[in-house]
Formats: sequence, structure tokens, C-alpha cells
Amino acid sequence: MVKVTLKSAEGDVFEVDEELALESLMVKNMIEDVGLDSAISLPNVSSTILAKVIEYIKFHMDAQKDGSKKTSEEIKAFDDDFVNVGIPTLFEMVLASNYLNVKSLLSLTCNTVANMIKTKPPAEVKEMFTSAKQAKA
Amino acid sequence: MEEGEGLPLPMELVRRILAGIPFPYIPPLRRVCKQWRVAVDGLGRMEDDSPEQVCIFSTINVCDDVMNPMTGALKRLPKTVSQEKFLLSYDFSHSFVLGSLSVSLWVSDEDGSNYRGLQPGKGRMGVLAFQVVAEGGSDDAGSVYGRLDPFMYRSKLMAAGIVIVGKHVGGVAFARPCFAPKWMVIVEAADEEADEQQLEWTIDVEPHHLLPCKRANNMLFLHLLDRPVAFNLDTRAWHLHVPRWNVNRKESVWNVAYVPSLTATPNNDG
Repeated sequence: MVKVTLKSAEGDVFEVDEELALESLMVKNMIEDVGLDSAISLPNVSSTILAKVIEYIKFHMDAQKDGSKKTSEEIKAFDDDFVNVGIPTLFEMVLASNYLNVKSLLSLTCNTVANMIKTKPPAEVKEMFTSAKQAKA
Repeated sequence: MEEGEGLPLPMELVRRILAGIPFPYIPPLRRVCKQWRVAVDGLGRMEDDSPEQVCIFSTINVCDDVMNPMTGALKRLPKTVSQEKFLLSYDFSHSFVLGSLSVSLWVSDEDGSNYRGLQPGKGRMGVLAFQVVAEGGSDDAGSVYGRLDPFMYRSKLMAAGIVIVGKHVGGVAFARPCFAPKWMVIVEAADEEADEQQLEWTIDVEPHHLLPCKRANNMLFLHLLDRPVAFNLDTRAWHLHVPRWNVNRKESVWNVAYVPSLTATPNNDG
């Protein structure tokens, strides 16, 4: 199995199967451009978030494989648990999935944010974003 | 966070998030910050990028039991704008259904599920003309138009993708450019002034506000009060003597524009 080396913003290295790496259209394009000889640098994604993204892709790839015994309920439970994180982390995942161009994850995280804020008054939404921004800073 | 200060997400992601929020929850989000206000106000443009199909509704045959409450509701708008929803038009014969208007447009499917205002019309532009029964002449009609001033209810209207174009009554132009409209609501008084000359409206809508139609040879064709008319987006002139055509409600405006007599050099005969 061909391996792809991904390098996070902190410089941490993640070695993943090529099949998994190609789930990110951004990584796929980079591999097509520069090949597999060198590590793919992802300066916009922290190690923590990159690990989460890899976990997400791996789970869903496994779930889609023939012979997978994962039920739709299990997949949903995984997704629910996966996005059950703090606002700053969730926002980082939104940004990372957008940057890496992982459409299913982007959809999941954006919908999660949408569900969180839809019933909140503007002041609370503003406060939520403020905390996310402060955490990022 | 101060007004105007950016959020931790870029605009494209803000719009993506907004797209997942049912319409009724969207207008208040304008107050989050400047970025979100811009995002909400720009919702009308979001789905106009490639209008593959543009539907033209002829003047909707609104039966009295729909028309009367609608007219009443229109007149109560200043007091009820915040919450009240009322039926605008409802026709099961179409692939999508015009729902109710609370100065924001709701669209419901046949099951009664509510959609965000623009969703069912994705890739389409609906032109909805409806009649306001003016009780007492043009002044009354004018006041109705005035209450429909999109600036007055700008946020909700814009979020719904609605621009209202009204007749020039009493020296006041009621047409108000907002943005590329998803829905163009044309209000017309059903009194003796609603003759052809009166249809020569002063339209204060810049052509670029009507981008989806501008692509159709710069002409917007519609049936207004069951009369075929055309609006030249360049000259902003109404053309009242255009041949009647059979508007298939699912037919695109592009097809209409292919009718030879309509694509001939515009004759400003309004």
C-alpha cells in the first residue's frame, strides 16, 4: 500500500494510505502536482485537527467498504460524536475540511454549526464566534 | 465583537452555514456582525449563479378567497410585518408552490414542509405578479405600495430574495432596487388607472439588479395582469404590445426569448 506523508502546521508528520489521502481533493491535487516523494505540507491545519480529519475519513472509508457491518445508525452516532466538540475545535474543523476539500466533512461541520446557531439570538451567536476567535488567537 | 469585525470564518463558509438554516431563523442573524449582514443580504445572489431554468409565472389567477385575505394582510403590513404570515398564492399544479408571505417569502411543498425562501426556486427566477385591490383609488393604492417599500422591510425582503416593483403613483416611484432579485413581486392597482399608459412605470431598477433576466436578450418577458408585456433591461422601458405567447410555466425565459417577434429590435411603444 502506497503511503502519503502529510505534515501539519506544527510540523508533525502523519503517514496515511494513499487511498485515504486522496479523499482530500486538495491533497489529491498536490500529489498530482508534486508526486509522492516529499511530504505534503498542510500549513493551515493543526496536528490535532489533522488527526481528527484522518480519523473521520478512515471511519467513513471503512464504513463504505464491502463487508462493512456498520449500520447507518452507527455511522450517524459516529458523526454526532465526532462533531460533539467545543466551538473553537468545530470552527477549526470547518476551516480544515474546507481547506482540504473534504466535502462530506465540510457538509457535516457546517450543518452542525447551522443547527447550533439557528435558534440562538444574535447576541449569543456573536458571543459564540467571539470565543472561537479568542481561542484561535 | 464590534460591528464590522470579521468572524473566524470566511464569507463562503458563512454562506454555506446560512444555507443550512431554515429561512425563518436567518433574518435575525443579520445582527450578528457586518459580515453576517452582508452574507444574509447576499442570499438572493447565492443561487443565481447559473440559472439554467427561469420560470415565468403569468399573472397568477388568484381566487377571491386567497386574494381578499392577502390584500387585507398587505394593508396591515406595518403592524404585522414582524410575524404574520399569510397566503400569497398556492397552486398545486406547479412543480413548486408559492407559499405565504410575511414580507419574507415562504415556500412550501405539497406536504406542507417549509423550505427556506429560495430553495425550491433554485436556478430559477419566478416572476410573480399579483393584484392589490385598491379601495378608493390611487391614493389608497399608493399607500399600499408605500407599505411594501422594500427599504422599510429591507432585511427580510432581501433575505428572501424579493424585490418589489410598484407603479409610479402620486409622483412617488415605488420601485426599489435591492439586489439581484430572486423574486420580482409586481404590485399593480386594479383600478381604472391600470390601463396601458399607467403601465408605463418609472422603474428605478438598474439593469444589473436583474441579472438573471438580462441574459435573456436584455428583455424580461412576463404576463402582467394577464397581458403579455416585456421589460427592456437596458432602456428600462416597458413594451406593451408584444405578441401573446403560450407561457409554459415550466418553460424557461430563454425559450420565450427565442420567439422571433420578441427578439426583434425593441420598439418602445409603451
